[in-house]
Amino acid sequence: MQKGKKNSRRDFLKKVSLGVGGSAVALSACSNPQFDNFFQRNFKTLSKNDIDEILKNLEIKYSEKYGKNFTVSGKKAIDNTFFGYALDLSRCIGCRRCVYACVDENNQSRDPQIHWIKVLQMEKEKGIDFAHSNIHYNPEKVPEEGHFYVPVSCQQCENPPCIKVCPAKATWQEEDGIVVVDYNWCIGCRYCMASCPYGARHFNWKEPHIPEEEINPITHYLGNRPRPVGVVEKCTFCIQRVRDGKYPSCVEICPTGSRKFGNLLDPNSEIRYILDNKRVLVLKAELNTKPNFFYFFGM
Amino acid sequence: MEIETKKTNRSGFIKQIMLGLISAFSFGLIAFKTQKEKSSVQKNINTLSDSETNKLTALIDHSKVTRTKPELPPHKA
Repeated sequence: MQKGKKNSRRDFLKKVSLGVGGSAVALSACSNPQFDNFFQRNFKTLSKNDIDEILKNLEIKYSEKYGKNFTVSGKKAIDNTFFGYALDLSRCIGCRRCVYACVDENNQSRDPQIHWIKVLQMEKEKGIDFAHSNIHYNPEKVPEEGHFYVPVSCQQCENPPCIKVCPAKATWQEEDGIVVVDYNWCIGCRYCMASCPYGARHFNWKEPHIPEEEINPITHYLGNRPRPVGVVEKCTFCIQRVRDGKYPSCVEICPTGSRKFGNLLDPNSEIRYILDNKRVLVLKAELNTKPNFFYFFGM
Repeated sequence: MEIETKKTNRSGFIKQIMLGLISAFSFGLIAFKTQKEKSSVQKNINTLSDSETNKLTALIDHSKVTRTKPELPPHKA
């Protein structure tokens, strides 16, 4: 009986030492960036030095992968800024230029296809009617008789249900009102997609495919940097542009000037002029999500 | 010597407390101002009802707009 006990202890010690040795070998086999990536904390809790190091590593990684000089910014919100967006429904002609400008600027996957902006065609007689809207319209020329167009993307809600349901706290609202996702913390549960009443969030079912020559190397950590498979992404008002004082790409490309963007806290901004002088529509207002994306009729 | 060090420490401590209080107060003031501005913007928004929106959509006039070829629609799932 005693003999048996001794043997089992020896076996136990052997197994433990083997296990420790094995895990040490496995850990040493992991390259440093992989290890760091796995144990990286939430972006919000990182120190400035940690952020700088992570951004530098990402720049190296993406530059090697895509053969271009990448910049990955971690620029914080500008003080006293709260972004708002307005869209003139009477001007939009449904040309989808905004959709593809957004795809190019924000490195959205071409295959499988991801579009952060959806342009819905609706009948004038029926009014705003999502149930009977058409996203796949493709006539020779637009606008078509008897129709109008409602582009929909993330509404950057002030009371966002997507943030409340995230079990990993991987999505939050920044001080300038932009709702962002930390792709390194997203666990891909898609609760946020289920909770979003505007269908504004998109899941990477496969490794995103972006042709090397079309990649935009000017990126933001919380915005348009290339995303991995299995995470959710969404419109960020082109965070990499607006925090540098530029307009979002959809605003710049719109051939009819129906898109307006600006700082809601600036009483002299165009967006404030619209809100002060026009009656606006917010989608699904009854849900109390308080969107910062407004629709109006400029006619 | 010991008493002197003690005195310096106490004044340093009070200074730090004062600095902390002033910075907390100013941060609070800025946050309050921003929040007030935000809520006043939200309060002043004059929203359209569904019926009003539907009336306005019926009035949209594209007759003078130059027609253009649209970009491709998204792939059908």
